[in-house]
Amino acid sequence: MSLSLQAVVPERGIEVELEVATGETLALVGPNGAGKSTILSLIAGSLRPADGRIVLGDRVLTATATRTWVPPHARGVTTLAQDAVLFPHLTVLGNIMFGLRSQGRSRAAARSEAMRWLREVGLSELAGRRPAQLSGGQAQRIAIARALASDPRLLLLDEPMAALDIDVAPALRELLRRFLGERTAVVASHDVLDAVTLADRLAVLENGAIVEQGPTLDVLARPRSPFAARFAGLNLLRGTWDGEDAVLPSGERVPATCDGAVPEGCEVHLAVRPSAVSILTSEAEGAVPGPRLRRQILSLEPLGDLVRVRADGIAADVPPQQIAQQQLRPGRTIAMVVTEDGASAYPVRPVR
Amino acid sequence: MRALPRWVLIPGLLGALFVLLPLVAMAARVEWTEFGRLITSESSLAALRLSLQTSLTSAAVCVVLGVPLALLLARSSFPGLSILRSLVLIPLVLPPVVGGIALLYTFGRQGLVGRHLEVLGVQIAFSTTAVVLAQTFVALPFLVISLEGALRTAGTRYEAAAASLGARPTRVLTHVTLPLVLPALVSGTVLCFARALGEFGATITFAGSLQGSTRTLPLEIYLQRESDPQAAVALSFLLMIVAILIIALARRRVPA
Repeated sequence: MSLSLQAVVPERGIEVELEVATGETLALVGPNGAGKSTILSLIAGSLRPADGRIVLGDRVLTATATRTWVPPHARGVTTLAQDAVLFPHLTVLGNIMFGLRSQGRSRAAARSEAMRWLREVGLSELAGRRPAQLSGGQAQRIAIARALASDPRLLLLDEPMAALDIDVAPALRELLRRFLGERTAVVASHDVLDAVTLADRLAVLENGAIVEQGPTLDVLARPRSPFAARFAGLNLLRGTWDGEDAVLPSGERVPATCDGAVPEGCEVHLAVRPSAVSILTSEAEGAVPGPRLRRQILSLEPLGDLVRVRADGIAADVPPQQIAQQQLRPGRTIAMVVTEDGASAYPVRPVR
Repeated sequence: MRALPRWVLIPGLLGALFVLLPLVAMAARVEWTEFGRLITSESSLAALRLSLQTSLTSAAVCVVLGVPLALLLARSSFPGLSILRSLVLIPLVLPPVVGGIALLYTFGRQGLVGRHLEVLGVQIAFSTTAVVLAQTFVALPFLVISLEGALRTAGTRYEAAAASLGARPTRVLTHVTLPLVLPALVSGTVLCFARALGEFGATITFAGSLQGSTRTLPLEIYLQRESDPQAAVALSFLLMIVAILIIALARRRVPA
C-alpha cells in the first residue's frame, strides 16, 4: 500500500511532501521538535492539515481541496507509540483481540488469531495477564502483536524503542525487523539503529521540512544535512573539488576519495569519519606530511572507549591516553590531519 | 504523615467528634423495644418503599443523562463550554427549596414546559414523577463532576489507540472509555442515589407530601417529628444505617 503525503500545518511550521512505496519502511529522522510526530498525526488522522492531501493506496484519506476526511478508525492506519498504551482493563489476549473484534471478527476467530500473534512474539504464557503485570519490554511486544493483528494497511511507529531499557531494545528491534519486511511502514526515530535495522529509506526532517531523503545506506554514507551527518556519526564539511583534494572556503585542503567523475571546481560535501582524523601537537608536526587543519579545541566528550575532540566544524575521536599524552584541553590549538580514505567528497548537487 | 505538627491532632479529633457525636446521640434516643413496630407502620413502610423506588429511578436517570453530559464536558470543545460546565453545578450550591420553585415554574401547571404538557393531559407537579425530577435535579451534578474528573484523568491516549486499531467511536466509548472510568461511574451513581434518598427541600416544594405518592422518607420523618417523635427517631436511625451502607459500598468500589 503506497503512501503519498503533502501537507502544510502553519501553526507547527510544517510543510512536507513524502512518498512511501508499497512494502517499504521509511524512517523519519530529525531533531526533537522537527515535526516527526506531527507528520504521523497527520497520517493517522488525529490532526487536520491547513492544506494537504494524503493518499494511501487508492484511497484518499485527507484532501483539503475536496474536503475529504476519513476518520482515524476507518483509515487502516495503526500507530505503535513509544509506550505500549495497552488497555488496562483487558487481559493481554483481550488487548490483541480488540482490533480484530473491532473489525467485526467473531470471538472465536479473533481469539485464535490473537493466540497466533501471541506465539509470534513469544509470549503465549502471558495470555491471561493484565498489562499492569508486564515488564516494559513485554508490554511493548504485546503492543506490537496488537498492532499487527489488526492487519493495518499502514503501520506508524513513533519512537517505538525510546521508552525501553537498552538491554531489551535489540530483541524488540529484531522482532520488528522481521515483521516489517513486507509491510508499508513509517518509523519516526532519533535512534540510528532503528533506521539502519528497520528502514529501507531515510527522510531527514528539519524545521518542518524534509531536507534530504534517500536509501538508508546512501544517506548515512553521504549525508547532505548537518542532522544526517550527526546521525551517521560523520563530520560534514563543504568545499570545492580541485581534482585531488577538497578545498575548504578558508583555503585549507582536505585529501578525500571521490568516486565517479566529479568535475574540477564542483561544489562538494565532504564527509569525514572522526576516527580518521588524527591530532598532532606542535612537536610531532614536522614528521607528518600533508595538509592539515589548524583548529582550537572547543570541547572534549567521552564516547565509548574513545574521546571526541570537537573543534570548529570538525571532530576527531582519539583514545583517552592520547588526551593525557598530548595534554589536549579546550582552548588549545591543534593540527588535525585527515587520512585520505577517511574522507569522501561528493557533489552538493548530484551530477547528471 | 510524620511531619504533621502534633497540635493538629486536637482540632482534627474535634472535627471527627462533631460529625459522629450527633449520630451517637440520635442512636441513644432510639426506643429499641418499639423499633420494629415504629419502622413497619403503614406510613413508614409506604415512605420507605417510595424513597427506594424514586431514588433508584433518579440514580438511573442521572446515569442516562449524566454520562453523556460528562462526556460532552470532558471530551468536546465548543463555544460556551466552560460556562456550561459552571452552570451544570448550580444545583450543588442552590438551596434545594429554590430548586423546587424553579422546577415548579418549569414543570408546574403554569410552568414553561408544564403548560404544554398540561394540554397533552400530562401533569407532573405533585406526582411521583415530580419526586424523581426533584431528586434528579439535585443529584445530577454529583455524577457529572465525578465522571468528568475521571474522564480528564484517564486522558485520550487509550481512546486514540483504540481508534487506531479500527474501533468505531461507539465501540471506543463502550469498550474503552466507560470501562476505564467504571469506578468513578459506580461511585458517582451511588452518590446520586444517596443524594436522592436524602432530598427534602426540592421535593416538598415541587412534589408536595402525599402519603404513598410523594411523601418520601425525609418528608415522613419531618412530619412524624411533630406527631410521633419516637417514630421520627427510629426512621432517622434507619436512614443513617442506609447512609453508612452506601458509604461502605462507594468506598469499596473506588480503588485507592
